[in-house]
Amino acid sequence: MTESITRSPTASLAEGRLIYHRLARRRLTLLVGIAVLTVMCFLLDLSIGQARYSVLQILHALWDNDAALSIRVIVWEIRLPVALTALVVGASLSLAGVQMQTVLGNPLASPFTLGLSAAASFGAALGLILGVSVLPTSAVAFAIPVNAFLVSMATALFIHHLSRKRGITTEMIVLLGTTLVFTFTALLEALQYVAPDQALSAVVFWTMGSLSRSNWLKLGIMSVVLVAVSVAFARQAWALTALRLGEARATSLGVPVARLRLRGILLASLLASVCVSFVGTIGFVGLVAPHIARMLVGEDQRFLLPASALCGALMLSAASVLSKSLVAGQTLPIGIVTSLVGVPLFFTLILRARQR
Amino acid sequence: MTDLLNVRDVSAAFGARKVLQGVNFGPLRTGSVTALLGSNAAGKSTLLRRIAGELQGGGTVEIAAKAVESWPVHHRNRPAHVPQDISAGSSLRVFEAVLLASKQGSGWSVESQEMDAVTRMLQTLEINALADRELAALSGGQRQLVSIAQALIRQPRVLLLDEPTSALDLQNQFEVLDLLRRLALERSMCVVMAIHDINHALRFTDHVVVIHEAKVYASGPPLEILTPALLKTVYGVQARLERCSQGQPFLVVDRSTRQSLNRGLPDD
Repeated sequence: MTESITRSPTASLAEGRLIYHRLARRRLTLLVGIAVLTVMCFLLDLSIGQARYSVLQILHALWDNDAALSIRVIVWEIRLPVALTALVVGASLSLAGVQMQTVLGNPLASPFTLGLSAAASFGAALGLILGVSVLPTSAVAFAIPVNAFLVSMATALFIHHLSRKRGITTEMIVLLGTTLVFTFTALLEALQYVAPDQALSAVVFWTMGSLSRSNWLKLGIMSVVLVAVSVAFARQAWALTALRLGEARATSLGVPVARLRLRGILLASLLASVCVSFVGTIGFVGLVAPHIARMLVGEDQRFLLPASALCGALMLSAASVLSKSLVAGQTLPIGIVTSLVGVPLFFTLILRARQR
Repeated sequence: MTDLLNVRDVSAAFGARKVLQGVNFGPLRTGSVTALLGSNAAGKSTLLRRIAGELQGGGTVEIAAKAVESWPVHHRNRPAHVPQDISAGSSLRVFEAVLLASKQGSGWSVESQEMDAVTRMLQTLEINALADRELAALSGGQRQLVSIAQALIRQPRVLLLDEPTSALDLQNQFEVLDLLRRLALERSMCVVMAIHDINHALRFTDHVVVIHEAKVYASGPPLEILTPALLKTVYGVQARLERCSQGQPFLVVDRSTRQSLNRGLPDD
């Protein structure tokens, strides 16, 4: 130890308050900053498409009933559900990721790495290739998402069930999740091998992820789940922050670690499964957005929760803008864009954090 | 000084392995410092977790004449536990980490008096200069003091520590133990700590409890309990108590009594 642990210049009570207020103010400023960026990105997302509108025209169409019918239809019926879905799905995946990382104490945990996305893809493929569905034929629009959701949730419950067993460490859970990724990928490939061409292209397209599958109803379902799960997490903010001090320390502070962990896994899985079922596999956001949020606002969940949600929403909204503007006249699958643009960005962040 | 902590017939097991069996000691009084002694894996940490109410098992731990589990989770009569520091620390600031401990189970907003309580605690432990530092950037000793601050912020009546000096250099070992003894008296706390250093037990504690083969082997004032015979049985060393020129007792270990290590040496 090079430095005494008991240096003691006199620090008054006011200094203590100042330290806290400075931290809180800095984090709030960052939150507002990300929120403003997100709104700007969202408006840009609305204005870009086959027909280009200015942001002013978009705002006009949103607020004013006298706007031209064509722009109102385009904004309200076509672009708004997709742009809002980008926000909701981004926020949901990021929130699911940050809580999986928190309760499992592992920076690699995310809906993607725990096998939930792969499970959903397999569930969707069961419907697309074999025509398996639990729903009556009248509800065909929801057949594939429900398939994906059921397999994904079954996987989450399996992970949850195993985590309850004695002697299962969080590392084992993450390893198990990774194993499940390979299992479901192999099963999916087996299905693809026997699939006819038409079904095959449907599966490939599904696994790439696309926001354009969304509509107001699906958006409503995802939003309700997002709000409900966020409230549940917010109520546990102090306990979840304490988890970052390690299991023993959190327990000694009166945090019911095992219960919090199981609940966290279940809620995060629910959030991720609903999104993945509706829009397909969108990797990366759930892994990276939480890390960016943590670099910005730190571990305190009162700030980390909203920061993660906003970072995820911003990332996916930006990806949506890029997916429409990278190739003229075409919309690339958003899953491809998030990974291709996100990876170099994340690399830069990691390398910068290392130098500090 | 009043009776505070009583351990009655406490047992604990992990699967088929019985770690503690019928452990009895107490009553321990407010203002006292007690050392839990015993060889590695004797069950000292397990006993601390039982006293803290973190583990289930047979028997009862009584705080102020009521079973520890019957006190609400964040009540003062729930013992505060400082486990051994194994985590490398997070990016939380020292101030936040202590605040976090005081806010468990309450709402999002932070009142001014709660911040002041944190500042006062940091002042008591003389770590207020570290308030704005990240936990990950602290030394092991500094983190140990933050852990103690986290435990003390709720003003517990019983403080349990698992090897509080294991990460500390000589100066800091002395300072922490001295501080704990002072705090025990000033705050009328009952301090129980698992330690390995017999000399620390001799110097800083009023009472020792020696755990051996899952039971309490001996319990009482350190000078009466820590005899050469006990050290031989419990620790497997041939040792003697000497007194320094100022009358302080200290332990000198001559050798291990394990046969395989002493082949060729005459046994006494």
